[in-house]
Amino acid sequence: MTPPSLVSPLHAVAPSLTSSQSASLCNRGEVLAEPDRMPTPERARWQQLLRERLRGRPQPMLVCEDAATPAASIWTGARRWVEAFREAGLTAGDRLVLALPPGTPFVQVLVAALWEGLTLAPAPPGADSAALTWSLDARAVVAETPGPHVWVPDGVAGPRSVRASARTAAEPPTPGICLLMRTSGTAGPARWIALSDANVFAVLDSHTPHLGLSEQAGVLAGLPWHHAFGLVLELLPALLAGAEIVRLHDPRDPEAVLAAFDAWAPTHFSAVPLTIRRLLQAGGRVHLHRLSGGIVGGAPIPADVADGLRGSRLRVGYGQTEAGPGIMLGEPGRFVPGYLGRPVGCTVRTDAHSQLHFAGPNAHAGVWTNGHYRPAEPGRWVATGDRVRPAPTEAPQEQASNDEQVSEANDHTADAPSFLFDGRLSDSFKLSNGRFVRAGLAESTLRAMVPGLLDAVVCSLDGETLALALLMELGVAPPPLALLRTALGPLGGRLGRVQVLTPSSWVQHGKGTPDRAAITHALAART
Amino acid sequence: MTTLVSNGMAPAPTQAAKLSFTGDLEQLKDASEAALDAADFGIVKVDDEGVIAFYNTYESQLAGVAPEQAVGRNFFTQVAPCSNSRLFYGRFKQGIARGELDVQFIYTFTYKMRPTLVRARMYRDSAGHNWLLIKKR
Repeated sequence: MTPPSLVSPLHAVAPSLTSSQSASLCNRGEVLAEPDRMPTPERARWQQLLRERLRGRPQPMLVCEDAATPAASIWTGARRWVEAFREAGLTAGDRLVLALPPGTPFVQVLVAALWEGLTLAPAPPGADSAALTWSLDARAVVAETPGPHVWVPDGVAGPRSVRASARTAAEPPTPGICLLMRTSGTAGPARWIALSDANVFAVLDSHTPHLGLSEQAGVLAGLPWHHAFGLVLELLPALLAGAEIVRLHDPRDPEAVLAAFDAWAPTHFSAVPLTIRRLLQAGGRVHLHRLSGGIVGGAPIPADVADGLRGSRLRVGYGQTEAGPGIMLGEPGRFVPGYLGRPVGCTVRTDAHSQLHFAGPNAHAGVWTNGHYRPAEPGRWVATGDRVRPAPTEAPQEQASNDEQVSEANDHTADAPSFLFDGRLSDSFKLSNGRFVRAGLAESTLRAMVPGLLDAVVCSLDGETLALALLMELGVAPPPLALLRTALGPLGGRLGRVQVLTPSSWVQHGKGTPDRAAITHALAART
Repeated sequence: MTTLVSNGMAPAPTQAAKLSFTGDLEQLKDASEAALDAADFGIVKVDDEGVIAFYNTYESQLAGVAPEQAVGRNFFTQVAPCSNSRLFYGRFKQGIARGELDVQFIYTFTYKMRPTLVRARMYRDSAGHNWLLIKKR
């Protein structure tokens, strides 16, 4: 033990520290006392993992806004949040909204919430705290702007005040649910998906071995951490692997991202295809090919992105928030348009409409909707709303098959089937003569067959003929009508209007998928 | 007026210009121990392995680590093990290998159980002495 006279009275070293650690300015922090009741096995696993990976350690290192925070200070900051939560009477299953930007305080609150078994609802920074509190029946909020039942961080030093009071929830707590993640809405109306500890561990256990992360890894983090992709597949694996995590301030600025590549020499980077496209257009191919790993997902892989990443060490990832969010991973460097990969940690099958379903421990535990938690049936099949078809061994076939496929797989092996994206189920429509049009399938075929085509939207403005909106690579001439008709197969005869839109007219959702309604509207306006 | 010689420090006049975190750090090698102790930022002198030869009063009070406890121990692996990272110790070792070191960055240390942002600067003077400077933000 350290002689008391040698240590400032204000600097109380935890009694459990050994003498070799006592004269240290990286306080390890106390081992947090547990509440009276025994934690669940999953919560005990979180606590063991977080303690082992963070307490008193230099890595993981989190670099945000040019400040580097070692694991030891993530841990001590999280400890201060735990104290505040306990002082306010929060217990396992209490819902807590986290509306901070991605940064060190965000991670400290996340660690504290996982430690305490709270149900954390990450929201975009600046979200309406009062509205979220009401809609999720949350007991408190952590945000940058003060308000009722709101904790505001004191930089990286924990909460600014521990006096924030938690409100009384009307609904029962949701123990075992560690995350409520708001879906982006591409799979239907936006809602809060409840992910259990078991869901998140299932995805971490199945996906992390494929990511190649270690204490030597440097992760350039640009995904939003209030989405499942960013939180579960970018932040948590890097944190638990002890990697160096450099948080990008503006991942939408390709010049800034490439400057960060040059400054930090990351080994891992995950992104949506739109971000990759911007980096490729800004001359970032060499940067991306230097990486050791990373996942490109969140939207189908377009042809130009596939061309730019083929042969790299990045891999395709496919999933949904409802799957915690991992369903499939591709092989490193295998990039073809629309490729989804092979199932990882779950079982998949396709139905008569080629819609993909999945089942397994990644299937979300329930949904928070209309002010209530609704648990889902364990072991069920979950419909993704995505049409898929088997991927050929090599490059995808240019003409897709319409045959219905049924397949199952539960392991990420070379023998497991791999799949190509054929569009959303909801993208399909009927012409007035009853002809069924699978728009997503037609679009993926066009992208594969038409040189220089970045994206396409197939729709109908009059209910009788097809209209086609195209986004071409800069400087590439519009394709000949005959090629478009050939690519559309039997539907080619129905092709009426074709319009090449400028990039500024090509309205996209945040992760790069085309906004069909807006593009259809733009086509109609030009008629 | 001179000060007691300790930790290998050469005696030097105390009336030297006040030390500055951002200023010319060549003056460190000629500064007296009293001048180093009077600085309003942490000053740690280490050898090429990181073993502490001098630990000033500011740093001692900030960290709650007595100089007697710090001197002779490795800063990166024993006194501040959370600096044993590529970003901190790695940069130090790179600088030593190059024979040239002057880098600044912002770091979060934990002082008295509270994460605290500091400005850190590592400098190797013309005499081959290595200095770690730490100042609360």
